[in-house]
Amino acid sequence: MRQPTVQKRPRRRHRVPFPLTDTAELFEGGEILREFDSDVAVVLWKSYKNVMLWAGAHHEDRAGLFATGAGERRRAEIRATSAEAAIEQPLQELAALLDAPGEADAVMIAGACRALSAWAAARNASASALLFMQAAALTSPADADAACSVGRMARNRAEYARAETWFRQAIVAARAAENWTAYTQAYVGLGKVFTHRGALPSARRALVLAYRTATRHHLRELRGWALSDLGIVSIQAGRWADACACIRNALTIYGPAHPLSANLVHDVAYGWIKEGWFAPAVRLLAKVGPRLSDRLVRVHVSSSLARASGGAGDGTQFNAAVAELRDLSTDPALAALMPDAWLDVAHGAASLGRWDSAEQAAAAALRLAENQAQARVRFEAEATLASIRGDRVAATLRGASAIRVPNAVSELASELAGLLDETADAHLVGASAV
Amino acid sequence: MNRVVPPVLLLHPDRAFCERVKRACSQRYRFLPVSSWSDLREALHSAPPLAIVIVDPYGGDHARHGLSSALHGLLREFPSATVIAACEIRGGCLEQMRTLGEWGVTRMISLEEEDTAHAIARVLESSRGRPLRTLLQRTLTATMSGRARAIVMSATDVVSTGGVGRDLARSLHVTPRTLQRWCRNAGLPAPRQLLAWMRLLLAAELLDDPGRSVLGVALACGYSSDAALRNAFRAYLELSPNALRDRGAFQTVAKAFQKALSASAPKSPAARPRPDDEVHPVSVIPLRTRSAAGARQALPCSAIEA
Repeated sequence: MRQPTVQKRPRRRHRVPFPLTDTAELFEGGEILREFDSDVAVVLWKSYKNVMLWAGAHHEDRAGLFATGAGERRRAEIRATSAEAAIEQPLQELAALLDAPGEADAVMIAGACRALSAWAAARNASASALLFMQAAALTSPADADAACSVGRMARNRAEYARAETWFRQAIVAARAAENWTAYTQAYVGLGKVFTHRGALPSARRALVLAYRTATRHHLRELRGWALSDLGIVSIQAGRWADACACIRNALTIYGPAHPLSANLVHDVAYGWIKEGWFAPAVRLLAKVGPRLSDRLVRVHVSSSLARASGGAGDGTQFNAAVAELRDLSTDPALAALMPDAWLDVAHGAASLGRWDSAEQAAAAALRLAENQAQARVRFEAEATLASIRGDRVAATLRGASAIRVPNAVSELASELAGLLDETADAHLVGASAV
Repeated sequence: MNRVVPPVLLLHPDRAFCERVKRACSQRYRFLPVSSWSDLREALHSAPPLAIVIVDPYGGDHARHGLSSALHGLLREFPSATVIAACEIRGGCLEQMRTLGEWGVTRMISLEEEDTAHAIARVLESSRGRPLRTLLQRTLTATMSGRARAIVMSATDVVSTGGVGRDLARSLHVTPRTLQRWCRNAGLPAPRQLLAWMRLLLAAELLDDPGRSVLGVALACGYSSDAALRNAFRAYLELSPNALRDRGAFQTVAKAFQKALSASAPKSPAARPRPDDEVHPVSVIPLRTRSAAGARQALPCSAIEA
């Protein structure tokens, strides 16, 4: 007897509102003119405008978009500016767009924009990097990786609304292409946006989705990242058991041979700091700190080290960590991290009895958190500032020797320190997956 | 609602370029060439906020000794005007381009490059809802979700053309029913109310200019008459246009809009228990695993196992 055919449910097309592309800058592409000098800035800016015009035009209208001879004039400009070798090829490819816009290859244009974005990012021109990556994503709407990169860059600049829309766009594009890596990365990124905003239930849902997808499609490393971020959410929600469990599972996934992510170590140490177990936290963070090249992770580690060393009574370590943080605070690409960072410094300074420094740091954290609409940090900064100002003597920030460190924590600290020693020669990546 | 046809005010010495702008305007814009900066100022005084201005930033100075001070004065007098500068962008002009940005110019059209009729039409289209979008970016709270913000920004574009709810759905490439659901989930008022608020915000911005009449404001925003605008203000704010003017029209309407957004915000997740949420903490739900003795053992994080 023939089995009845199971009819597949028709796939519903998943739609989201078009992602936000406007910046705070009124003048189109003005960020590029600000971040670069000389005629190279003008050539980059014009190339960006050309791509945005092309990407926004309907296919049928593209043929007559640019004036005759515009491509040749652009090539002459590129020769005249003596652009760096790294960007000459992408600029030439964008000049070719002016010759025949009706037949231009979207993939090539997107690739040129990505190259320019990477070049700008390497020069700490984060706004320009974001603009070019956004141009790449608009040129190639099916490219989930580009959309995900835009989301990540926007998130790092504390533009959370924009980041959210681009991560959602990445999710749609990744699902359509069955690109489960980008799909997972986008949900991890979305989870981080919600975490920054203090929307912990939404963050948890996004990260659980990321974890499930990574598990289903055997994406081991991304599964670890989802677990690591779930650990962060649990720490912020005050669920220590869940946090430790998530991070242990993440460590299990990585294994001792895997170059240990500094983020993971930091997450563990930060949880201990919240419990007042400063000594093991200082031990781990001090080991991790010198190996880091990624500035993003250095901010996390330096601020946590400042808090932990303050709590442990180590003034020298505290001063070194704050000096490092001051250096990093000038980078606009790290803007989203600074409110939390200064709050940690405030706690560390208060633990050391340096009340003036504590008050300054807490006030800075509050000001930055208000500007960036980081609700959770704002509330914590207000409470900390009130505590410091109201009663400096009776401030309830824990002192160095007040809390006994449980044996399990000391054991885990030893375990992780051992792992760090084992991987001392391995490159400590320290970069987030998203 | 009446369809709004915004004017394009053009002051440029290049005749061929002016012709192409005229072709680009076709029926979507009202092409209004002017012959001098003073004519342009006068035209802007009576033009709606959706007017777009295209000028030569050098003021016709072919030797390009410097940017036109008349343009600077115009932008100081009309800081919210959408001004597009059209000129040949040559080498060595970086500082001048930066200055144009600082003055408040919105976009540049590179002559001999992006000055075809198609390109100009695209530039006009993308500049259309800019004034209201810029105002809203300053008004909306940073805590508004990305999805809600994207829908609101699309609504500003629709309002700038005098569109209605189905136009908003069309611009987002969804059905009206899907748009209703999106608005509800994003904590926004229903599409019709959302567009009504956008129109009121636009009208309020115009009302803050004491030189404009209520009738002029109403027609500029797509209302059929001043009575229609008055009724709209009364229905949403219980205030007359003149009362709004007295207390700062845009600020008042913006605050009322924020209040309306808070009222239509979605319920907190705690009110709708879901799996994987605080109701079912991760450490409680067991996962089967085999120990050496074959006994079941609970592991944490089991709720997130697929």
